[in-house]
Amino acid sequence: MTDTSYQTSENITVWRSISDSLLKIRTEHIVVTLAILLLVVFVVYPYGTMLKKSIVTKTGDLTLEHIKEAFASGDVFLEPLINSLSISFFVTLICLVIAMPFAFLVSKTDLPFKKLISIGLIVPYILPSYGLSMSWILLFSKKGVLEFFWGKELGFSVYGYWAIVTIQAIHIYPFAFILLTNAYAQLNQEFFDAGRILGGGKRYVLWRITIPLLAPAILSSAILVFAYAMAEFAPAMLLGGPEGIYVLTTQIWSFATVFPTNLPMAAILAITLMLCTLTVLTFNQIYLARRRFTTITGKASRIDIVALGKWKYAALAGCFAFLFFVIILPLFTLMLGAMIDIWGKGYGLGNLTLKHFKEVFFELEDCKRSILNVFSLGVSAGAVAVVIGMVISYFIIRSRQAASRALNLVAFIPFVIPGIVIGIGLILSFTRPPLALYGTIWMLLVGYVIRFLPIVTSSGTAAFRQIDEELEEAGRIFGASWIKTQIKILFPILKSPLIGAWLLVFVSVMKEVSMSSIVWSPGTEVAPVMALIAFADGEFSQAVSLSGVMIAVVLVGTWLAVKIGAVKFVET
Amino acid sequence: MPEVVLSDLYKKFGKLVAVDHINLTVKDGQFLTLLGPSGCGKTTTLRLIAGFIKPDGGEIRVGDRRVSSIQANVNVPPEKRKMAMVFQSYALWPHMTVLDNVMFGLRTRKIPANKAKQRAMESLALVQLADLADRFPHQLSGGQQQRVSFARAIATEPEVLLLDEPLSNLDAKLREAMRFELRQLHNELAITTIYVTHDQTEAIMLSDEICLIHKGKILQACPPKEIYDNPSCCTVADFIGITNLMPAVIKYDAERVKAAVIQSGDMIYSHIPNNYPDQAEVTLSIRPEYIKIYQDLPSEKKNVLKGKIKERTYTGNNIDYRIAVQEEIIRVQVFDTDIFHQIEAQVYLWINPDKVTVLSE
Repeated sequence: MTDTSYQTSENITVWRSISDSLLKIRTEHIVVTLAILLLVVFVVYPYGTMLKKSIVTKTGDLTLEHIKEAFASGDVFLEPLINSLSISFFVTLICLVIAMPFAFLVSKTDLPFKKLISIGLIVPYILPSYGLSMSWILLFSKKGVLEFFWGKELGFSVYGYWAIVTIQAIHIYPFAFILLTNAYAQLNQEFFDAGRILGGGKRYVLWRITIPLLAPAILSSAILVFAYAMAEFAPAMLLGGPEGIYVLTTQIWSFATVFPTNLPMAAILAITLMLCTLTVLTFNQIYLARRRFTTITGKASRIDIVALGKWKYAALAGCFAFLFFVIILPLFTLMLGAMIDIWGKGYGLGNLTLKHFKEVFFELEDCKRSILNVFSLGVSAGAVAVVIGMVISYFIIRSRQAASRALNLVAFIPFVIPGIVIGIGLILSFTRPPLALYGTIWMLLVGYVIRFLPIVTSSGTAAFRQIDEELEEAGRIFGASWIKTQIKILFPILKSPLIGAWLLVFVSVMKEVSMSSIVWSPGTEVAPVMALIAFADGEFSQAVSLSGVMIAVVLVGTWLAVKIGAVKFVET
Repeated sequence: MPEVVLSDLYKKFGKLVAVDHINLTVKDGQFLTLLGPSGCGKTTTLRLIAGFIKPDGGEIRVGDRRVSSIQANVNVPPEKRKMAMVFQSYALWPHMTVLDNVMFGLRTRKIPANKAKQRAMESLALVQLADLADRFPHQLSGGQQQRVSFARAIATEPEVLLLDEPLSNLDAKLREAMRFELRQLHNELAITTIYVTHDQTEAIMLSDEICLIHKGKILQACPPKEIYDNPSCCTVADFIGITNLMPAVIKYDAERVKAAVIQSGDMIYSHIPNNYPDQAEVTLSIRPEYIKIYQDLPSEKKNVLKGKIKERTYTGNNIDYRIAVQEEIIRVQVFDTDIFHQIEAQVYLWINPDKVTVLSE
């Protein structure tokens, strides 16, 4: 009697473990299949249509006419291309010049308030670039904030090529700063000590050891900054548009949205833009893979802090002055701009009002709708991206080689594609049944999820990598099934990365204008695009108060994500 | 090879005194170990000698060269000190091949490329790695990286060789093997060597002289055998090897002979220095291998204690007992592993009077 019951329970256990592993294998297959399907439908298919659009006539014949047309019409193809490349080049250069000394200061010296300064230095990256562009214009334009307080005419144009370069550099340098600071922090002091004790002077060690060791990190951040700058949209639109300076992103936008539209040209430009960013980023991947050895360090990692001596306070003053110009001044200007009662009557207290906030929240139908839309899209895109992204992350870490690679690709590809290109792909692909999403809010949701999936998978894979498989195995050995283990053990541990990823996607939606300015349609306005268009139309108060709301949400959201420990920009 | 002399060397970091007026001479060709727990100031001392940090007081001399001196306001930079160093993390530059790593120190000394290459290869041959000269550091195992790091240091024929816990990142077996190799290389090359470690076994096996540092001060500096047999204080006795530290009071016995009375009331006879008067409170340091266990009362008249076996651990080459003598637990190691005393068994302990060290405190 006892024997049989023992037998039965053992049988049950065996069956359960078999069904569990079957479940896991089956789940893995389903997830991989679904993910690849997702990739095909929302990533591969759009590029297919984009390509098709650029080489096929309306009647369906193959043609090179569109491409010929593009190359023939210099001012709508070559000129924006050259502008994009040269602006990105200068932006990269400036970003490195700004980021390198700051990274050195906060990671290697005895500068006071290091933590505060490194947080401050990252803020311009957190602020949306459309906000920075607007503040630049309000600050420097005729009868702008600066002229009002200065009392003199500045006498230079706020728009144009160098304005785009400046704003982009201010927005993107923190990206290089983060990468370089982490690279500095990883360098083992003993590398330099070894060089010194073996007879190398300070300068010799700098050239033979320090620079070669940092070179991969510097080159890599240069490439990432370049690709980021190529994909930027808002600064070129706000600062270049009025002077007729177009870059690839703004030219694509113009072809896709300004009557008469020219979708084949938009497609060709989008492919060109994608090829540019794809080339540099692929190069980066290959280069990094080859240079992987540079990350080896010993166990002992001591950093010798450089004493700044009498330069300490000069450096501190420099840092605070810089932060004043890139954070305080833009935010202050935007705040003033949002509160101006009557434009042209100055910025005195008497001319300030809060009525514009009331207007955008309660009175203007399209503004009201755009705020509601962007918040609901932010919340839902975050949730969808987190669910899909976490499942994909789990299988990237825990799957066999091939499946893991396929999933990695799904997760990585959108990362290297500029938002505007995603936008073009979507409007070209989903205007007809079976997936006639264009014109609906679903189109934007799909766009945001695709665009920001890499945010979730990067923090997701990092989180899963940290969770030892033994934690899962421990769950199993103490009697929980696979599914139960996921719910009872993994989920609680992952809670903060999950919330963090959700917050970051939400915040990114508040900052997104390149994809959404292509995909939106009347009725599905989103606040950032609304602000951009309003600003371009001269509706400054509306535009700036909408931006102000976005910025406030972005700052709070990012702060929360950092607070719960889901994001760590700089290792200190 | 010159000797290295530290006089009154002093270094503080903020309020923390890391090196507290150290005086030390490392003789020509000697292998000296700075031993101590982490944070005791041994690595700081080494880095002061290397010139990576500047002392706040005192002087460092190499032969007749003053390399650091507060009084004379001299501080020779590390690259001019004619020293070499093996680092805890090996610090092999990842962007250079093994050969380039080893040649680095030769090229900084302006030795022509072909000559430098030849010497670097000789140096690699000495550590049996000549065939890996074209590899990159990340392609080598930990032990091989360690050897390259050593080859890099000796290739420059330094006047002084500094080693900062070079074996601490290796696994136990390899560490053991590398100790012998290191000692052998030192015997061949006879470079004045300063070695930093927290591992007392390593220090005892490798050194001509051990300098035990505690809280920035030198507690004792002498050859390994001497520091083991005659520790100068409880801290040294406790840090080097295993010992029983037993509080005791000096008293005269019926025949007016001085002895130490331990907590159980038993009298322990040994060579008690004259500077301990009657009633002086002392600590006895008795190594566990100098205590013998008897099942029956031994023939010895003195230094016999009655105890009860409390714990027994077989370690392979000895049996480690913990024996209660009244309230006090005494550790005894027996190297004859064929006899096992049972737990709770009554035994007699005999302590060799020649092997008892009397310490103040």
